[in-house]
Amino acid sequence: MRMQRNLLASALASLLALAGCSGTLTQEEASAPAAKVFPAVKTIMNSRKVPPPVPEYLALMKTDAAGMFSFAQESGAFDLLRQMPVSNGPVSNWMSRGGTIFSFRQGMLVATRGLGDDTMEADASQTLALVTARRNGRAKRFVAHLDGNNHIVQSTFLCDVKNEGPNALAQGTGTVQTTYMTETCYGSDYSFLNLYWIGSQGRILQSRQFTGTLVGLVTFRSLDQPTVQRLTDQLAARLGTTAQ
Amino acid sequence: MSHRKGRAWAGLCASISMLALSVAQAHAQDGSTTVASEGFGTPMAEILGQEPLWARPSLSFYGTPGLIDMPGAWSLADGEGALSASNFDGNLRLAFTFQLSPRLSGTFRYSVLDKFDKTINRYDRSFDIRYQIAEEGDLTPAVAVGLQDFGGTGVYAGEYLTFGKTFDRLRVTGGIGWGRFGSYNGFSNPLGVLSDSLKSRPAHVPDINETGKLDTGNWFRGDAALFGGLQYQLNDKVVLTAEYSSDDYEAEAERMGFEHNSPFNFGVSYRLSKSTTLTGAYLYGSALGVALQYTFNGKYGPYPGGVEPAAPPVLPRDQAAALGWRLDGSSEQVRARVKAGLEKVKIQLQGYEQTSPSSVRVYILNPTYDAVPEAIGRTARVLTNTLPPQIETFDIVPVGNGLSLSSVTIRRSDMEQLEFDFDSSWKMYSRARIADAADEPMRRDVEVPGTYPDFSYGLGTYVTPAYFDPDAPIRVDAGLAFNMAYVPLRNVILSTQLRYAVVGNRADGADRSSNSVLPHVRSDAALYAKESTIQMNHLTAEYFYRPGRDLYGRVTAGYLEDMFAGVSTEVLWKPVSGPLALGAEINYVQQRDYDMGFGLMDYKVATGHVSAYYDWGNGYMTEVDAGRYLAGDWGATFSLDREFANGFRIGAFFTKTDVSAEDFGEGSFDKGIRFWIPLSRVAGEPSMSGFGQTIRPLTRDGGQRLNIRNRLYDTVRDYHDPELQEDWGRFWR
Repeated sequence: MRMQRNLLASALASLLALAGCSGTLTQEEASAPAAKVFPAVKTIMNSRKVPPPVPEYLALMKTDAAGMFSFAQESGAFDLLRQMPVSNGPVSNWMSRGGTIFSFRQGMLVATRGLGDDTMEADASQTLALVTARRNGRAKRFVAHLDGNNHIVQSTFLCDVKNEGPNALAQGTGTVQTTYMTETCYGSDYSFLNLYWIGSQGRILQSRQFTGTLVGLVTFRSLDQPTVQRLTDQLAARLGTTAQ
Repeated sequence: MSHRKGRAWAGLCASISMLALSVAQAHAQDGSTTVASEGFGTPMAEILGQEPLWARPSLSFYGTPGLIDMPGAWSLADGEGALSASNFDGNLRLAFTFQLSPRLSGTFRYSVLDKFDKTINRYDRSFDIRYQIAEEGDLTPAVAVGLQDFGGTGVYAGEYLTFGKTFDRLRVTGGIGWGRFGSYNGFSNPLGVLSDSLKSRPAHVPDINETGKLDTGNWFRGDAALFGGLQYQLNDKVVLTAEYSSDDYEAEAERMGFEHNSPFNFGVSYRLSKSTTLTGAYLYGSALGVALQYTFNGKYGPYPGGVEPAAPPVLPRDQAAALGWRLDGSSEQVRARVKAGLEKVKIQLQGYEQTSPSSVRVYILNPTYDAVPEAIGRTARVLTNTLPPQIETFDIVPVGNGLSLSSVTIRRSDMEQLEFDFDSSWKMYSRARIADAADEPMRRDVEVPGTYPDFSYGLGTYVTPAYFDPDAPIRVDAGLAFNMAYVPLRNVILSTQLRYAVVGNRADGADRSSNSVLPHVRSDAALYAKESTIQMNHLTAEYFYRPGRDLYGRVTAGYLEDMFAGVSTEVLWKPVSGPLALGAEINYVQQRDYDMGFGLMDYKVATGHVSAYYDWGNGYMTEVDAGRYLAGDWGATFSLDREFANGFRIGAFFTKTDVSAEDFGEGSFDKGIRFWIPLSRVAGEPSMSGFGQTIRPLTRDGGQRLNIRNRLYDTVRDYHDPELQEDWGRFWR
């Protein structure tokens, strides 16, 4: 059964690859994603200019605000998100260098501002309940995006949440044991697959979540404070020298 | 120094690479699962061009939905526009088609027929209109009726009724045509049963001076003929077309030596990109042709929703207290905090007033956000984050040209509760109170010190095209523009614009002097371009006022526009919500010298209009202006515009006055199309700028209005409903 499923999957993946549909991981990408990641790193290394962060981000760099790593799968863009002091109830706000804000409710992305095709609001509470309890089940997910004509477009997704078993996640210099959860969401216009790595406390340590049609899938990973500090220092040095 | 820079960067990259690797590993470990699950979904399918078959109809060489030379029955998508260029054997056609509503579309076409008039080229401008009578059903065909070159006497005049049916990859089209489309293998008009007069059509190739008349008497008259064709979508890039044309190209054969050897045309269309198609065809057994078509949708730009940085997130009062952040302070301190907060989101605080122990009113100037609710929403967040905790109500009054344009009242606790609430946009709109601000003029004592008097200036560039001169279809001037404004009081503006043309050829148009028998109120445009060096485009004093509830007023005096100086006054009645507005404008003006300096010529005229504006919803807007025009002629202008919530706007207008077609000259009456493409749609960042043009087939002297700046309807409209409601999705953006 498992074999058949994989065969079907690779057939589908090849078809999608043939169709030039890079939104989905092909067999090659899935087995060697580093190849997809590396060109992006190279691009960053070769780029002469680091676009200066927005002033609010520069201010956050001077604090010990928590950090999160983000990686947009389509564009290969990396960023170090910093948690803003301002939050609203259980929703925390994280800012990118360019001033985009990602808002999370216990690790579940509920809003973006500045990505384009922004998630204006999302209710993913049913998925959150299943994922943090590491349970299989079906969840409804409600998402509202801002379209090009300034209208809010609400959509409902039916999502299958599945516990895929234990998974070791690299963190700092070592690894941490997580439970790997998948959420396959079906909508009337499109479908997507979100991934979650759940820590022992039921906390989302890493996730890959669909943001919208413009940026697509983004991986988020919590970082420990020393890593955040190291990356910030290096970014600051880089900015300091390019400023001249 | 550079060495250190390199090392630091390498370090960051190394760190990122390690992180990237670990993320990659995490993905890799679950490769099989990932692929198995992802096989179902094509998340980005929509934006990567995985469109269904026939997602977009093919366009003919006329630039309208159709086969090769014959019209088809399908329509573009609502809001879609198509620019096209085609050429075969001396027939060059440039066309712009826009789908004005799901069923109605219009086309403007500029054609060059090689040596059509003996040795000289015929430059022909034509308008089409077509209506989709029925969309394609499971069993029923798509049906469309159209008038091509509906002036009725033009080179391309023809009417058609066309049917189409899709069978998977095959599309079949069949129809009946009149005029041009009834000229090959024609038969007696079946509509002749209705009236004998329909059996004949006054057949002649029009003289240039007769073009542009709206000759409804010719429509659907004379012989009719059948046409048809097949199209096959080979794959998602290639469409093959074969058609049988009912156009005999008689005039082209006679005058240009075109060879009509066969009624069959064959073509291959190749989709170069999502928006661009290239078609090659073999036409009439004699000519090879090529057509390039570009389509876009006015509703959707490349950055849906925009990519400008986020607004500051809401800081609820309890969280501020928990953080130990103090929100109180003296009135001046609070005002300074609000001002600084608004500056960060590029909004200017002009006035601040605490109207009760729990409410504050702010007057804001929005120079940034073309979608006004975004400005209101950002202001409301700044106020939530900066005002003392006891303030519960914000009254936000946007100010434009010194006028209080409306008043939007928002509750602070709604801001705190709804930020991440599902349906936050609609809930916020329904809880906000939008009212007339006639009773809330910004008094001097609430003005933020330093706001007025205000002095500003700027240097920019400009481009002014002139279209359709017989000697050159497009002429352009480009140069530097200097703007200066002094605003002593909020509603008094002294301003000027000076331009200097660095390059351009508009002055060449003066070689062909105007033959107009009317006062030359517009037809000497080329003389203005030729005689001027530094152009003073305007030098005016403007005064804006609110005569009462729902009323707005303007008085402008000075050098009002490029060609006229004088006094202009206007009053507008426009309730803060509701579709109807009424206005009246009276001007007394004198024509300016061609050098665009301070001098005036002898021609003086009193001109003015009463106007009715009606917003039909969904962005359909009509305007009727009736009154006296610059040449002293009396009549009315009718306009229809479609404006999407994102600001993209396209429209058409025509003016009929008591000037006879003969006196008017070529074109018979004034008409044109106009459009506005907001920069925000293209750049993905909010902006008040954009690119707009009014394109007339020909500018003559009849039916011309004064080009006065800051007419009131466009000044206030965006700050009222239904515009606010249409853009309210951006409140939380």
